[in-house]
Amino acid sequence: MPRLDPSTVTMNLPRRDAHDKLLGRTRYTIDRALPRMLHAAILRSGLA
Amino acid sequence: MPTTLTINGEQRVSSGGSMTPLIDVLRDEFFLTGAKAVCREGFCGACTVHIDGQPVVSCLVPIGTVGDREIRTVESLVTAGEPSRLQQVMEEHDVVQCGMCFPGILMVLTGFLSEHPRAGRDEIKAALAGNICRCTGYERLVDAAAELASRS
Repeated sequence: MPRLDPSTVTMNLPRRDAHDKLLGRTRYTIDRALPRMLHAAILRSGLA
Repeated sequence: MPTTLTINGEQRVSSGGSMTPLIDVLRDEFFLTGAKAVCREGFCGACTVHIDGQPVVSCLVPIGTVGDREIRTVESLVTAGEPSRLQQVMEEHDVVQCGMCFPGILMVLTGFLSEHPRAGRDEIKAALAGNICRCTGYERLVDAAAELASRS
């Protein structure tokens, strides 16, 4: 079987998420807020 | 007591108490989620915004101290839909990875390069001492900033 020339299978594509991230408008999970969204927190015991 | 803040050129009224960290008001009350609350201890730099043109970690700034100051966030770097030259050069150099540190890095470098437009690599690295990038993408972003500085 002939070896593949890596240059034919490597593509240098622009990162499609870079632009929004640079503008500060990407919504990460922690950035999302929805109406009536519930919040949870872990309260650990102060006793062993 | 409500606090009036000037954010990205607009007057906003926060219902938070005077000791509320600026980062929480920006993100939770005004949904300016570009700045990230990552360490909340002033260590990582991801929450950096400009106060009167100076980069400041907004997690350590109580809103009661900035009522009469001009606050600018990463969202304000775009002018009429056009990214700033710094944002453009970062995109050209394929710098962005996960992107969590970038809002802070952009605000630090925007402030630094406006005062030191011809800065070299070492000065740019020193300016970024307070910004942690866990993707460790420092070299490319220093390359990008240095190229922008070399153009001016």
